Amino acid sequence: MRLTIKIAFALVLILAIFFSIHSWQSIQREREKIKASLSREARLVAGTLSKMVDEIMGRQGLPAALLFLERAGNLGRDLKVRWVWLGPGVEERFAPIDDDKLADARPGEAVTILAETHAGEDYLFTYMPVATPDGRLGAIEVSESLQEMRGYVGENVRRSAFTLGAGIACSLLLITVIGSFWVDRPVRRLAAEADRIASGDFSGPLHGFGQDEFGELALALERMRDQLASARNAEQLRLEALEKLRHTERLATLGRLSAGMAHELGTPLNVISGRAKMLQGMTEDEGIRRSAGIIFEQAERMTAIMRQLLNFARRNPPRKTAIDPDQLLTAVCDLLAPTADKQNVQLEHRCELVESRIMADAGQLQQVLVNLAMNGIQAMKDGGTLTLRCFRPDNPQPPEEVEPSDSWLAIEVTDQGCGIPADHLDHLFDPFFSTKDVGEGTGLGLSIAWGIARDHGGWIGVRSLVGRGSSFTLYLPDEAGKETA
Amino acid sequence: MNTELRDDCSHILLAEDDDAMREMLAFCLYRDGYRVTTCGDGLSLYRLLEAGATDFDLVITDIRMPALTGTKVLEAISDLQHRPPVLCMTAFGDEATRRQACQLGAIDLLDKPFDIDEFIEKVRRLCPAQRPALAL
Repeated sequence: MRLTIKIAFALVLILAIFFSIHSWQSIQREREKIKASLSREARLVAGTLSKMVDEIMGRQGLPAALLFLERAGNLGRDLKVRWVWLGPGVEERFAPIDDDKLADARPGEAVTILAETHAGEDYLFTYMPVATPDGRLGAIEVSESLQEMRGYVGENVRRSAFTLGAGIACSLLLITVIGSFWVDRPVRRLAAEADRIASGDFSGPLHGFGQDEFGELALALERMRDQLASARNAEQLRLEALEKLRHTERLATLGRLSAGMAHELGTPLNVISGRAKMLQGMTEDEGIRRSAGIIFEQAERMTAIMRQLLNFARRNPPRKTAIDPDQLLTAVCDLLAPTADKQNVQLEHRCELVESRIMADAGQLQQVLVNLAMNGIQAMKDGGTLTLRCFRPDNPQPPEEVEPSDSWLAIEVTDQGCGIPADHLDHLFDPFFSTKDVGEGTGLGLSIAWGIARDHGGWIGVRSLVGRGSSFTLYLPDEAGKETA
Repeated sequence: MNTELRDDCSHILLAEDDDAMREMLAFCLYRDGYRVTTCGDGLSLYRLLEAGATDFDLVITDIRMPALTGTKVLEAISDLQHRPPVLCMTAFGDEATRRQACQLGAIDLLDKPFDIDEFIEKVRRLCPAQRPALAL
């Protein structure tokens, strides 16, 4: 249940109890007052009549007096007068109501009794005892129906109930409206802010919560937000630094490992390939020659892998020269043509840079482009078009570790292949990350490409749609442009 | 050590610590008509050169060897008179090793694993199997 409604109910309950007690008390008072005034009236009537009856009884005898009373009997709708005999053994017509108060009644002293008749109605009986000349004790009974009073009280109760009901409804409405302004709204906003912070959005301060308790809560939330934000920043910086350190360590380890392995494996590999070649020269047996050939090839393949590993581990600093991008793309396409033909891939290249030169190590740049393009070709199992494009990017977003430059050049390699799943994108440039089958790739090509791009002060951007293709873009700072500018 | 007499042939001193490699290279050189002397560590190489540097027409040495490395031997023999040309070998050598070897007077650095035919070709260019006529 909402807090506002709870408070409203509590308040309204207290209000209702007070109002009910108050109403009850005033109704009771009113009842007493009415009863008192009614009984006064009845005593008056009874007193007057008793005098008259006394008089008539004295002059004309008891029957005349009783006749008079009978005639005067019906004074009004609710007021009835009749003669009763007091004492035991009275016939029913003249019997008073059964009450102890009448036992010791004396003439001239009125007795008032509130009683309920068998019809279920309340009556006020007033007895004025009168002594007859023959010494018997009778009384004039004035009976008055309290129906009217009951109606009046009932009406009062109904009015009070209505007032109470209306009061409760108005209070509820008012408290709900005020509560929603003062409580619900700030609570909802605070909850939304807390959710926002919980979801990791630490932006912007919390405004407009005033000076009340919610304001204090907002301030506390604000302090929490600040602390969380600074903690997260520190954690992020720490993780980034750690990640960089790990990367450097991995590379260093890889360098040491591959250099060590190279030294140990170089000689045995040489022995294997050399012996295989010797074996080929020693025999005419075709089977042996073929086997020796295969041994030689496999040793060569191992050598190639080792060389690639070493290329990665110890890369030479780029020897930059001015390169014509169009020539570079043509050279790369020429190199790729046989592989592309075999895979049924069309090669396209276009250079959108007019009269521009790229300052780079031609061999290394070619190595990067061939690597990217080979990956693209291998991604197109069913053929397609591989496009190499050289252009000036509009608004490149260099990663943090790349030194900013005013002007960039880009070479984009776009394939129509299978694309790269999102969870692979983060690891593409990690050494030894490969999705190719064992034996098809060392997982070093892209990390070498990335390293070369970084050595040139640039980087490689990737966009990929699974099933549609990938696009690798090599960004290089436009150093030639800077010089001429 | 191979000491078969081939007086009219070029004499090659081969230093290599790996037995299989040494045997194979020696065999190939011998098959190609060279007189070959072999040793398995840097110290033996140095002693052989110190004893008679002029005996050899070509020295082929590994860089990484026990006792004395190839480069250390190159340094040690730098003041020898009539020093024969030295061809160095190393497994997956880098630019720095190549530069260092060349600075110390090596003719070339062979990067293991290398093609055995190309190796023989290179040795032939440096010194023909038959000694030049003036020796006769």
